[in-house]
Amino acid sequence: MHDKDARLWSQRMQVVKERLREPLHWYPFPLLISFAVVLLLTAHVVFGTNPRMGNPANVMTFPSQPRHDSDIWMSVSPSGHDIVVTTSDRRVFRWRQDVANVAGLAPFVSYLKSRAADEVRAAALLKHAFRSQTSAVIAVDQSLKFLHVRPILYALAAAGISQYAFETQNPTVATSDAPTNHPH
Amino acid sequence: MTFPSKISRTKKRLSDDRWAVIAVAVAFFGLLAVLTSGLRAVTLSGAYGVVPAEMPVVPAAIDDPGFYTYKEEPQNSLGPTTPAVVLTTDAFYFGDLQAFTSDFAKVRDKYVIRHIDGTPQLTTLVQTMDLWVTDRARHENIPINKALVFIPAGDIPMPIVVEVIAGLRKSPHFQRIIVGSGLL
Repeated sequence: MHDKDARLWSQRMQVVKERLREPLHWYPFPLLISFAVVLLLTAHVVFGTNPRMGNPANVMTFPSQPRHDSDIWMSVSPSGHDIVVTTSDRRVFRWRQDVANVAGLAPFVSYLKSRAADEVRAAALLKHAFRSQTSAVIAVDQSLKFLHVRPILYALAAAGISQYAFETQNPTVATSDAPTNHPH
Repeated sequence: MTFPSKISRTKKRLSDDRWAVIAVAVAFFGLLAVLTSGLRAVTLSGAYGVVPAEMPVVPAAIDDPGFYTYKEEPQNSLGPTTPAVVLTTDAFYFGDLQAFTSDFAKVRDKYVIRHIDGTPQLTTLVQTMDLWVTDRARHENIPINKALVFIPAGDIPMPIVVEVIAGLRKSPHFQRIIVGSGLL
């Protein structure tokens, strides 16, 4: 029994030696693992930094007042015969462009209610509220018409959100009011 | 299975480089996705602004029996004399809110500014409404409460809706734009 174990052990050692003697050109799993880690880190860092990443809504370029406070941000874009709403926390809601009843909007209304409640709760715990904390900012794709946005306004009203705004991209122009070091 | 055959199988397995092709392809497309996301994040403009709008709310003040006895008062109220603007594909129509509700059949209390070659005459609308609001405040003693009801037709593109809201807000007489419509 002892000789048999020793023989098996020596065989296994020999197998391992032979295997390690062969050059290991490629082994796919380390690369796949590192690729997945990079992808996850990218998703968390980049997507968390700017909610516009990955949103297909192409907003219009128009000079408007910049926003400073936090708010409930969402983008609205067409997808075939559907309207797709993507929120800043990556929730996606979809309904048909010719939606004619409130049942299709129920999940979206429920989400808006919970977001508004969260904002109010956060303000109460912080003892500090931003002016536009419970308002909604809608980044509407340029190709949409007002009838496509009406269900969203209905959902905002149903969720008790009366303040909202449409997002635009401010045109970037060179200004000459930057501080200079010229002697006076 | 003999030991040499095991070595032979191991060599054969390790010499099979079909994984390498797949892994190189996966790595290439993964790198492409990460670089594309990075480039998008770098080139994404941060210069965004908002064009605010509101929806009408019914005051439902809650009694505050606490120490401060805070009582909420509405800042503005919509009434029969609140200015209203209707935007269709043909023209702007403006007048009192009463003219578009209870007195909808009357034809002498509404004003029209037609589009020229399909282009809405926003500057003309704002200038005309400024004159109209100040004139009726002076002669008919109708107060200016800086609120306006804007009702776009459903087939108006959203960029035009946003531009009209922003244009109306440039007037010192219209600081709160309430967008109204049939919701569904």
